[in-house]
Amino acid sequence: MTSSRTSFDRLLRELLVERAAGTTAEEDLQTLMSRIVEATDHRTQRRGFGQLPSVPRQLLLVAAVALLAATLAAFAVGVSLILNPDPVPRVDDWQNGELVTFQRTEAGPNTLRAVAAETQLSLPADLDVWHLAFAPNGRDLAVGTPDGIWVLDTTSGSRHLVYPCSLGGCQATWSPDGRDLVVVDDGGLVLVDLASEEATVIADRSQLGGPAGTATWSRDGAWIAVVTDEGIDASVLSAIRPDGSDLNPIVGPEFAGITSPTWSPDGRQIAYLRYTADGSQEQPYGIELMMVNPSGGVPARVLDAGRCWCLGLWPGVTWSPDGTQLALNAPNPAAPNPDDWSLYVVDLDGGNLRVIGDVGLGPPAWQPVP
Amino acid sequence: MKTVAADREWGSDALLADRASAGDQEAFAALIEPRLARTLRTARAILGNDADALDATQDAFVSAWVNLPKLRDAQRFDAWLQRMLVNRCRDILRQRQRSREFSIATSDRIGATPRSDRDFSADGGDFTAEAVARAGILAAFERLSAADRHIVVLHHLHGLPVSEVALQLGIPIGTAKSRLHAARRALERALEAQR
Repeated sequence: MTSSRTSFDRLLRELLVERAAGTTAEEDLQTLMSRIVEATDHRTQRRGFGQLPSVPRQLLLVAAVALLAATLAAFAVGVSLILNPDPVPRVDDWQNGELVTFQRTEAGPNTLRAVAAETQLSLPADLDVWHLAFAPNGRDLAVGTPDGIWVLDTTSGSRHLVYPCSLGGCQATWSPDGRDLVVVDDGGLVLVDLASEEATVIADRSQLGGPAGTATWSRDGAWIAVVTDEGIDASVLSAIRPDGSDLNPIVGPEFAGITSPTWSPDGRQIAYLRYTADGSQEQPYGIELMMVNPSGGVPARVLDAGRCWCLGLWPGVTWSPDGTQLALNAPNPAAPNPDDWSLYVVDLDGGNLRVIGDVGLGPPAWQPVP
Repeated sequence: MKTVAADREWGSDALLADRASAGDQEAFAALIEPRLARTLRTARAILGNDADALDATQDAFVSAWVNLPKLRDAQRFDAWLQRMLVNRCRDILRQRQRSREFSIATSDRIGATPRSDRDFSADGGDFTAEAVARAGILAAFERLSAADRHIVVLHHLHGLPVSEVALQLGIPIGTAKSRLHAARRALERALEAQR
């Protein structure tokens, strides 16, 4: 496995080096620099150092065309949102809502798969999905894209951009009443009131003590768990009030990565995944399922998912709505090859492991029952 | 661990960004000069075409100049510039896609040789196994989005660890890992298909 990986890495790097080399000489770089400087001269007026040209008629025309395009796009999205074969079902067997994963399949680039029911929901293909979160109503999705956070109604296909990300790749967590989102953007936490679409920074990266990686709202709405992620070697799991007060470290700084915190329904525990790196070539990463009391205490290891190479995989864990199970997207400790990840469910003591599907692109989610 | 020198360098860049933000073109030139070659390499690797890469790089820097007053934190200039570059690369790839759709539709109408036939006949079956593999990876790379190509380039060309890629792009490390994995899996599948 290592040799084929090394061979692949070598090929890929050689290809990229060739592509990046191009034919541009040093004088071309100087020409490019001159062109940029010249262009900035022309654009200086655009920055408010000069007068802006007045073009009201052209603006009106552009606005009309944009409105028409937006209407057509909304219609197209409604048509393209295909439920196959029926709306995402509720599975009585689980009594938990429906466990769903995000995948890219033959059916489409953005597919939500309802695992137990073996049905899927195709999301609009033009959305470059980076992160998904179900609303408490089980119908709306907060979709993180490079452009920002969209709220998408999975029944009608309507969507709107509720928050433009400042740097791209932001993600959101819903308040338990579904009225607000907290968005992780540029390492800080931003509260978005969905009725007014007003955005308020509740804590920036300096207040958090580092850039935030992920955040999860507790089910009683009183706290937000946030991981400040300085890389794989140091992470802190903290809780903060939705108004930005009472920042309390719970775990860390850990000389390990912390990811995917998930609150128990009663708010008494937070489960999360911890990954460590030992620098070895074959299986450098170890992944463990941990649990901690957010009021304090020593984290307990629930499951050792094993070591893997697993570069790039995004492990995740989510707590079932009835509080009896945890679903993981992670290495399967029972599999012969540690890099064969699975979607599986365990009891709260880490036992009774049941593989229920192929690994998803991101953490699984339990779609709430409306 | 950051050194004092690195801190000083970072600080001076932030100062230059602040001055450029206030309209100082000399400060802007000093800010972008050391970034020009690397940005151009990134654009070339993403786009695979010199002319497009030059355009994308120029547009990204000009866009940075125009929008610099909106940058809230000057120390985030590099991540912000990367975003400008990828946005411009994405626009260029979309333009290419549209023109390709048009040319394929046109060639279909005039009964031209299908592209796949042309590709193999042109090289007369002289591909070595590695050349076939490279062609497969390259074709798969061309199917990636601009954002995914960018992550692959940062990690595999510039050699940045995933945590640094996440910092450069201003995204959570989990997101960076997920995107890199998805892109890499697509490329690996292409390689396997050639074997």
